[in-house]
Amino acid sequence: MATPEKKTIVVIGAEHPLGEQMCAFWLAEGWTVFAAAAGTEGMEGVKPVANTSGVGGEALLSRFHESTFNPLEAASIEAMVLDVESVMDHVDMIVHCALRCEAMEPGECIDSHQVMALYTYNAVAPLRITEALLPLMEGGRRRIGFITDSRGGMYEEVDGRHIGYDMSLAALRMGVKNMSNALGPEGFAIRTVMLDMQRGSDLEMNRRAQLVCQRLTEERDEEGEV
Amino acid sequence: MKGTALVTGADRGLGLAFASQLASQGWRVLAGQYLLEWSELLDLARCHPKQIVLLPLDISSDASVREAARRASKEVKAIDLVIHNAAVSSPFKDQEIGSGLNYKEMIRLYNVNAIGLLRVTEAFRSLTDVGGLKRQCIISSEAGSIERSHRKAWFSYCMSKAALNMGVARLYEELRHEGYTYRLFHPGWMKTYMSGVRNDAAELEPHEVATMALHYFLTSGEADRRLMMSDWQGQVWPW
Ligand SMILES: NC(=O)c1ccc[n+]([C@@H]2O[C@H](COP(=O)([O-])OP(=O)(O)OC[C@H]3O[C@@H](n4cnc5c(N)ncnc54)[C@H](OP(=O)(O)O)[C@@H]3O)[C@@H](O)[C@H]2O)c1
Repeated sequence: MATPEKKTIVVIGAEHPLGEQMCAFWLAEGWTVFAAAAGTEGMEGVKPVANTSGVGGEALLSRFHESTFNPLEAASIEAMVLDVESVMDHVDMIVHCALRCEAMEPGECIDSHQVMALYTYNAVAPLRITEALLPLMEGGRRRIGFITDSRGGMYEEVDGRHIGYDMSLAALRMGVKNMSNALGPEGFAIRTVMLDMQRGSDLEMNRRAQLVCQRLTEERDEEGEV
Repeated sequence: MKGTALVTGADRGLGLAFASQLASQGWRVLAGQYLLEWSELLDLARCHPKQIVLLPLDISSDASVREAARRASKEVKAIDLVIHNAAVSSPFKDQEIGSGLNYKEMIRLYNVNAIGLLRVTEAFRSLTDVGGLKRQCIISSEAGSIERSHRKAWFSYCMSKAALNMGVARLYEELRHEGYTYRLFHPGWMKTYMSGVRNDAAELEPHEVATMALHYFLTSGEADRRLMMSDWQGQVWPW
């Protein structure tokens, strides 16, 4: 089957500064963008940034779509997929950049509920969302990107204040690896880009978003750091 | 007594073999009991009444772990060795993405296999802090090695063990300054009960693995200086 001409992307976590900038980048590149805010924070910031992509008027209206959903609820994910389906007949690329980071105060006990909540949001939800969108990716370019935090590395000698967050990142990386093992042979390119999430001003964010987007479209199929 | 050890998931499989061999070697064993209707651990406790203390323990529950620590503190003054052994697998493990992954199982396995380590470590700190050996031994799995992952399925189990390894790495960074040492161990494919029934098709008997593991846990070596995951043959696995 020929690859469709119209290029389409779903950005999960579009409410985050990096997500916003990526939406702007893909819009400027001529893609149709579905910006999904993964949580309750709303999408106030996305439209203005989308405007700065240089795309305006009719083109912006027809190529930029948005919604807010709860990534922890199956029904909400299904509703988001239906929203995507209503504006795109296929999805070429999904990019996940919704991560929640929480740390303990020095001397504080580990809270098992917090550890579980971080895992559910950072590791389980991206798999669930990807699986729900897979049928729409059949006829597309079959690319899936995961933006993750470089502090998820095992060799780093860092303190344990972010233990729940770091564990969720390790779980995500493993989930993505298993997913790659399964979907790679079916023509999917699955990329993980690691970022130092604690660093970076808004100005830098624009540049970083560009680098991330370039990484995501490169042919090489491996993890990389930006 | 040689010292006091805590073993989680001691009812059967590898945990039972650890409890049995430690008791035979003269250790006092706080044996985490999860299955109330399984007789092997009760039989073992009858053979070693002075050494084995049965400790009801469900590592997936904050309340159960705290209560077990409270009970333990009535029995012993210190714990020298902790073997974090309990874990579960999933009957839905063969599902691949696209065929309907079981997200409830992802939560259930994580709660036991990954968060269980954190609960037990924290709740027993007042006893392990005053132990002589201060050794934490964690039974992980090759399935938690992200670098070597070759599976297309087993999401829940692999993710929980990768997170367990990360949890161990972070605890190690925190606690080594307080004199704790760590052993992270992949036991190989064993004839145990992970699927609910004894897996006779597997390669290794749990008592053989327990012997090799205890040797590794109780002797000094490179693992005193850096954290690594070793297997039953002494090979080191990448993260
Ligand atoms: N078997 C293998 O080939 C293999 C390979 C690599 C790593 N491992 C690891 O080796 C360790 C020992 O497993 P095993 O093979 O001996 O399996 P096993 O025979 O199933 O023993 C594990 C024990 O832990 C118990 N348990 C389950 N949930 C618990 C909870 N919430 N709290 C406390 N105890 C609980 C189990 O009870 P139930 O029987 O009711 O679940 C069982 O008695 C595990 O960490 C496992 O991941 C095993």
